[in-house]
Amino acid sequence: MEDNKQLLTFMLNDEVYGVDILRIQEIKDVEKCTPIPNAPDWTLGVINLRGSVVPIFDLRKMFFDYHDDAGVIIVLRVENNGKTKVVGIVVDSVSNTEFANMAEMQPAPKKDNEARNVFVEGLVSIDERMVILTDIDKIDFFRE
Amino acid sequence: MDELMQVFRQTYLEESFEGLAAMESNLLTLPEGTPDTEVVNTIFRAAHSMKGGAGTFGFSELIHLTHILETLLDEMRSGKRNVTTENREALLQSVDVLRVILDAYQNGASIDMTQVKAMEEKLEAILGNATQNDNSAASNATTETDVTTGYQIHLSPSDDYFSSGIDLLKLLHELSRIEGASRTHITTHLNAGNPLQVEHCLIAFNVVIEGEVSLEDVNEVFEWLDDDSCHVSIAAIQAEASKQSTTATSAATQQVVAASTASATAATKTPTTAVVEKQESSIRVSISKIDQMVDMVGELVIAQSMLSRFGLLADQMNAPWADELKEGLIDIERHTRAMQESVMSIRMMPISFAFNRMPRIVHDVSAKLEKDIELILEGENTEVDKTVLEKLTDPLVHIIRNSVDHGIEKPDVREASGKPRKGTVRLSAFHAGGNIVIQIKDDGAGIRLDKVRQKAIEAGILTENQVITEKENIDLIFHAGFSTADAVTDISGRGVGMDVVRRNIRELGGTIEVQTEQGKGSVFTIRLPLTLAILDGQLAKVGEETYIFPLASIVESVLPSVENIKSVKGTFLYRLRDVYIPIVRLNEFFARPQGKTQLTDGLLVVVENGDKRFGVFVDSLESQQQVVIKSLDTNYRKVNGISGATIMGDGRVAMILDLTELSHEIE
Repeated sequence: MEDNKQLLTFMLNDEVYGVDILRIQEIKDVEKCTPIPNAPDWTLGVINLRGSVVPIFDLRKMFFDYHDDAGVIIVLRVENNGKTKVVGIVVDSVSNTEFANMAEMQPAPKKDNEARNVFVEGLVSIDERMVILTDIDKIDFFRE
Repeated sequence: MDELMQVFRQTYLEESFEGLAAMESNLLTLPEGTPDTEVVNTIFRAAHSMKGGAGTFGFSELIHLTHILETLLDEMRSGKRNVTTENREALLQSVDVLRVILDAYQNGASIDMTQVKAMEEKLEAILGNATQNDNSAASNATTETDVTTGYQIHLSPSDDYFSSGIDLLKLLHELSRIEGASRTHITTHLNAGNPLQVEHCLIAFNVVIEGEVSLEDVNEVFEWLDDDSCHVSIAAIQAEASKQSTTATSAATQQVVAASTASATAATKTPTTAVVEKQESSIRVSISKIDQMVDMVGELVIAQSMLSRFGLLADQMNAPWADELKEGLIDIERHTRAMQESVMSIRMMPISFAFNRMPRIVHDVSAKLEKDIELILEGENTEVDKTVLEKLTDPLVHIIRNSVDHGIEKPDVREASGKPRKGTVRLSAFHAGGNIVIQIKDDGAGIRLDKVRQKAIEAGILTENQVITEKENIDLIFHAGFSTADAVTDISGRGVGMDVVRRNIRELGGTIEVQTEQGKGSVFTIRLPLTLAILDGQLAKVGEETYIFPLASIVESVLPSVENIKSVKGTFLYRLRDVYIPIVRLNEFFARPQGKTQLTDGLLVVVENGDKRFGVFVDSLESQQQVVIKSLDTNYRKVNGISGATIMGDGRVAMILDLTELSHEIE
């Protein structure tokens, strides 16, 4: 049981990804953002999340270079230079919460998509489906 | 260590730092010669409370040093030792050492014991000298009075003694159990003249202990009492008046009444020491709690601005309840504003917290440089935001050091140029037009502009023949890596000073200006915003997007006319009453495909930042309103040209412009 980790799974580029559920703050619909000047195109801008100013990043644009009006925002906590920041990531859809046995994690095959490899931690199989585990702190959201 | 102990420990450390500051400032005012008992007493009290607490928290490194310090101060207090430059310097140095120790405790760092030991030895050496010089009678008295035939103790608790939480009866009981006490006799009396208040302590006690009791044991009983809550005087009962005790090492026994006058009447009268200043009652609150309140009030301001839109709406709808609604809304607005002001005022602290460090710095540096300098402080009670205060201290130290080091000349030089030998540095703070202004003025030599220019050329900041204005010439001193000091000393001259100063002040949203006159002196003027959390803003539209200008920076706004627009090498200038000002287009600066492109279609907001004037091109201006500044840094990072974000009445986020960074763009 100890190695069991609860994940939130989500769809991105027709693949199933999983992120540690303890990081998740909330899930919300995509809303209009206030753009941040001179930010990269995958930075959609900032939203007002009950009084906090939270930046929103489109993972689809960031790693797979496609755009879709549909989508959902996962608000989660990331560690950046020793500070915890609350950010929103835009994905295609949110699937489920599931338990994964971390002891069975396989190293992920390196794909050509170099950018994506940064945040892929490994693969686990849940109900005979492959889920790509992500290490969200590895993504450099804040670069200029 | 349990949590409660942790809290006490923190309080102790905070109080000790305050104590050190008090010691330092009092030491600096302590004149040489016969000591001023009142001043010495204040210093003594601070040292003593530090020692008392150190024992409790096991800060063993502190105890010995404070103990020696106390002994030295006690000798001064009792008139056995005069104040000399030497021992005053030693005392000041020990304040520094104590500060290092306390810092180490606070940060959990290790303590450099060699430094502590060296200080202890130094103080002991001073003490040793005195014992030799003093007549033997004094030292005899000290030893002999350690054991006496008894003590007469007068305890007079203050009115609010009960709130101190120390059970007085236990102390009395303790007294009767002191080793050697053969008989204790307690008499009580009621302080007349006060209306009876059940929560006040109106009883005073007279205790006579007979037997061979040591003063140390008696003092120990009162170790936990502080002088404010209960006044204790102890007098030895002795046959011979000459053997009176004049040493005391506990705060509880800060007044030792001579035995010859130790009749009951003398002891019961209020002793001759200074009346403890009645302080305004206060509580300590952690800054995070206040920040939470500031945040919540910020939310309230937003909610209120959201609501106020409905007042207008109701009017347009001719709703029968429109007037009532509007009245209510106006009330809310008024109360919100009042509440916001009072919450912000909690964060405000008198600038004296920063100023108080300066006398010491001037003292040290001028002594090292053999200069005679008077520091005048003005407006120490001007209040500034705590965050501002914290970031302000270092820049002030830099500027003051510079004034003392480079500004003020040596006494002989001053005399030769017809100035008084003593130089003056004036540090003042005051409010002016929504800003806090801090000025550092010296009557020294002023900044040698030719020398500054020369150094700048050497440092490669300037080319040989570059023509610059006088103002630009002065501003060179803020350039990184610039220093005019001929030799790099440990006081200044490393060239990391003034650029850091300017950066710190800019971070606070402030500006710094320098005026200088050859041979007359220099003036540094720092302007800072009153508060960092809330801003009076002017909303402006660029396409779909809303940007906020700090209202205070706007000079005017103009509808650009074709004949006044001029283009020079691709940059646009606008002629405003015969002065050409540069134009910044927000959509270009921020690389946004938004908003109008034809200057004549939009509006030019003329802003002033520091001494720079420029026009910012926007589509239109909207309303003015107070906005709560939210840092983008919290969840994102610093963005060039943006000082923060805010949440508008409709719940959307808008960006607040950083005019300082916009103005850099023009250069």
